[in-house]
Amino acid sequence: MNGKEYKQSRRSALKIITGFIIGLFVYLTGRFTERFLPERRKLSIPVSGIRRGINVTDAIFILKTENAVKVLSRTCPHLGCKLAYSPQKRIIRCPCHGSRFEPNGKYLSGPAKKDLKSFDYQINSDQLQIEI
Amino acid sequence: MDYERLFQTRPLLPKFGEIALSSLIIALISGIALIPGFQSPSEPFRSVSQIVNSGFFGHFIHSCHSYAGDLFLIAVFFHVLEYLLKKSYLSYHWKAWLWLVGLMSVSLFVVFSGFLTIGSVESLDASSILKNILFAFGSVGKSAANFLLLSSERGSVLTILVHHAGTFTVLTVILVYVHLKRFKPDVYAFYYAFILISLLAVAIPAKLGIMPGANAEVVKGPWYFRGLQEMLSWMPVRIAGAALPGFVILIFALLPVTQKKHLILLRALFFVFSFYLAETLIATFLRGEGWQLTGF
Ligand code: FES
Repeated sequence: MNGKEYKQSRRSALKIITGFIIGLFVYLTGRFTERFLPERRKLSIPVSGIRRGINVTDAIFILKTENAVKVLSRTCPHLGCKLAYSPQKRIIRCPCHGSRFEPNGKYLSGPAKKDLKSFDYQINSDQLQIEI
Repeated sequence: MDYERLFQTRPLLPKFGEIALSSLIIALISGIALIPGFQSPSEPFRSVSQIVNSGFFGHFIHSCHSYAGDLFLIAVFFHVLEYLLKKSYLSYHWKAWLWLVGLMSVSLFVVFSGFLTIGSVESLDASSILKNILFAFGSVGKSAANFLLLSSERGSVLTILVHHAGTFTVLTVILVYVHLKRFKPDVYAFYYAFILISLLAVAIPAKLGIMPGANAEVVKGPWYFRGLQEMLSWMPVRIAGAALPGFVILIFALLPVTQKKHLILLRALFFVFSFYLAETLIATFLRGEGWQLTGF
């Protein structure tokens, strides 16, 4: 191996090592950030404040019918936009790409292609408790 | 057509590259002035509203920052167009050209990350969309989403704010320096951009967007991503959010490599751009409540 060839092979070896170090750094950073993901949020809503029909809160819809309560996510299953309820049309709509859902969370149309996620809840001393 | 002359005979208009650099510097200076006013990353909208409502200077600086970002992107766009029409890419080594493609992508992200820090409904929804597009790439995408937007899980814009003011700004500055070997713009271009931005900031205050928590019936993203938003409403996420942008970057990257076939690539770029423009116009003018087409 002459001097030039030696320099070239050393340079390509260094490139491979640098690529490996960068890849490892990116992987470890990804793993590292996962440790800081928050735990599930706990919500508590006074039962007496829940009206018949759809109740809109920041993160959820609460659908109260004659004999049941259903808690639905306000996050669109397509790409996560915050859904809006249209009382005139009695429909839940996504303002970002137009997915539509019935008030009980059933998918009607649009790119979401899925029903809204529903959450389990507990009622403890006039508080509706939900983990989202 | 003689594109060289098209870009040389422009009375009073400085070079687009110089306008881009000037806007970037104005955005940097106004961004630094905004730092003390940004009191709480967990209530970004309140912080930005407080800056804007603090008096003339606050509203002026915020609008300057916002318009400087817009002008930066517009100038970068025309600068790139100029490069393409003049076929300047043919004189580049492919590695040097890759740096420029990188600069182009980072330029978009430095402005977009700023939009994500406002905390309006549009900005929060854009964060969710970006996160979910990245999630479509499996665990690598998830890591990237966490890296960029982790604090949004707690309702804070801290992570993206740091990337906006730190990571993307530093990257943009480095890549601009690699491209130009200087960071001082042409004085005429600087005053041109400064006066244009200042006049706009005084005459039309930059909009903050919809207050978070509102029952927004239609949400439109920043003007440069409206086409993407429209595409996402009818195309699979992996195509609109990943394959198409990847395809465009690939075409750009290949331009100097395919010496003989570069005109085909240019035509493909022109086609993609026309399509994107049409989608942008539909999203901007024809989408109404619930993202339904209006006037039909
Ligand atoms: S995020 Fe709701 S339809 Fe796309």
